[in-house]
Amino acid sequence: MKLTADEERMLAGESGPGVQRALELLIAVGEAYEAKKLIDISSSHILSPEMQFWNTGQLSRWSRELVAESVEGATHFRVPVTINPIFLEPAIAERLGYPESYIEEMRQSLAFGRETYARLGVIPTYTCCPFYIHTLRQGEHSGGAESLVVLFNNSVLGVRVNRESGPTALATALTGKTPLYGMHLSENRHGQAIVELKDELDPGTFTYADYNALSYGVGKMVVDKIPVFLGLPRHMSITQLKYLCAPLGVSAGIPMFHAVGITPEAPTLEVALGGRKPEMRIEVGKKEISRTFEELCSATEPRINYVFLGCPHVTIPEMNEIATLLQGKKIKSEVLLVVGTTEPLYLLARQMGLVDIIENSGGMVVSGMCSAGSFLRRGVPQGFHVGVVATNAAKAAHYLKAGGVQVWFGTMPQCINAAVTGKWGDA
Amino acid sequence: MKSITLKGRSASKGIAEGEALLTYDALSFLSDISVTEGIITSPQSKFKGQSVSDKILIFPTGRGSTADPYGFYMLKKAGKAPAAVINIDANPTTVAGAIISHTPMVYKLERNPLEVIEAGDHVLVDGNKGVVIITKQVT
Repeated sequence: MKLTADEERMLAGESGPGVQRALELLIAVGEAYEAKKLIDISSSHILSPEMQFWNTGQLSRWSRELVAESVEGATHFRVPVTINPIFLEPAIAERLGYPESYIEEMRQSLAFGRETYARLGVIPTYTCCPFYIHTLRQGEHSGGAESLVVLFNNSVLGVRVNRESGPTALATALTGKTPLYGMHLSENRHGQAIVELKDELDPGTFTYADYNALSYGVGKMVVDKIPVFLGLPRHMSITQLKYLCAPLGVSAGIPMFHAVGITPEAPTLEVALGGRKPEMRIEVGKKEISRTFEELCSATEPRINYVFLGCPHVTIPEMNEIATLLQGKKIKSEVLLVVGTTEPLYLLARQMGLVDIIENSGGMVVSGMCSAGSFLRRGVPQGFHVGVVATNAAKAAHYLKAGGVQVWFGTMPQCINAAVTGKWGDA
Repeated sequence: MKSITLKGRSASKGIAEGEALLTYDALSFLSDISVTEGIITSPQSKFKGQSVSDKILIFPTGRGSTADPYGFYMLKKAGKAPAAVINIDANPTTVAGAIISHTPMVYKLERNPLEVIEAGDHVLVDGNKGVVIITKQVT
């Protein structure tokens, strides 16, 4: 790989051992992708193993060692950097009655992360939707991990970013570089599979759950081909688009999709396909969507213990909808309803009185935490009963189901109704 | 004793040698191997239950995503990591994992390692030069 003078200096250790290791990592990973060189990026999105995956026990200590080694000698991130959510908010662990020693360990791991990244100048978004806060433009090259961020940036904004791994994303933040491969190249951004919505569907009336089911089902069918959606409503909102993005990141390994007339690189089908023939054609109708709804449910027990909303993090319009559904109602005491968002939106929702409404009904609004419920799949304290989850997010449902947790997947009104009655499906 | 040298590409530096362990599965270091024990755990693998610890681990390619490199790192911290990795094709998450755990890794050898190397052969992996030297068992 040919390096610039700046890259040679970083590789020689002039910016410290952390940056040196970062550049070595990027070069090796780039060569595995046959990248000819590294390119400058204008931004990156990182995730943190000691905050998002393991914040207690040996794995947390090792995560912190890895991060310390990775940033050794570095004084500042080279580009604006946003960061993914945390695993579990201590306030929720307290509400669930986790042991105090466990919570204390969590706090230490989180504090280590916050301090480390703050020192390096991170924008403390702690969200899977950094595009709400630090928005990039079409054509900008970014580094980053977190499939939702990659999918939204590539597809909805026309940003160029690969699905990098955690360590590589951090390396891009420390060096301001990423290898030139994959989504950074125009020829890799074309659609390969046409997805047509059958006439029997009326996407104009789709709920967020419908978009989730559509996305998840299509992901399973295309596997690794970039889909081009035909027949979606031109004026889809950002909220709807993020629900179209998220499940594609779990049921398929893809970094991007097109929606003709909606996403910037798909003004027409022809352009989205890059003038090539599609490799696959799929039709999606009511049957496919219903099947996905069923597939995402693993629960047999109708009594629920949690409702998770905000996978991905909710927007203000969603916060409004949730508050409207909860206004004047009381959530059953045995149900924990959590709405996840990012700090700036949380503060505004607080000012608007929306958080008060949700809290008065017994729910919680949390900023900076992952709403996929991963804390029920991993690192659960001894003797803690996990229980049944209700969610309108296919990504959360998929992971919970894979982790052996009972989950009900349905619409936001169905989830909130279940929180109020205590049971899924009760009228 | 027969000795075979294969040239390939280096993904991660360092030199290590040991006993070859072959598997034909695409391995994820986070999902398919138990971090604390270093044992292959994926239910569908024919090699379930085998220990990768200190072995020269040979498999076609890796699988996995964002957090997978951390799995490799944790395995190393637990003292259960393979001594080196040989792949046919390099999955970048495997590459990242090998690098952050300082494990030598070589791929794209001039011949298919799964055909040339047999379980139990003594293998030296030179991640600095991208070379593998195999010493066949005496039969």
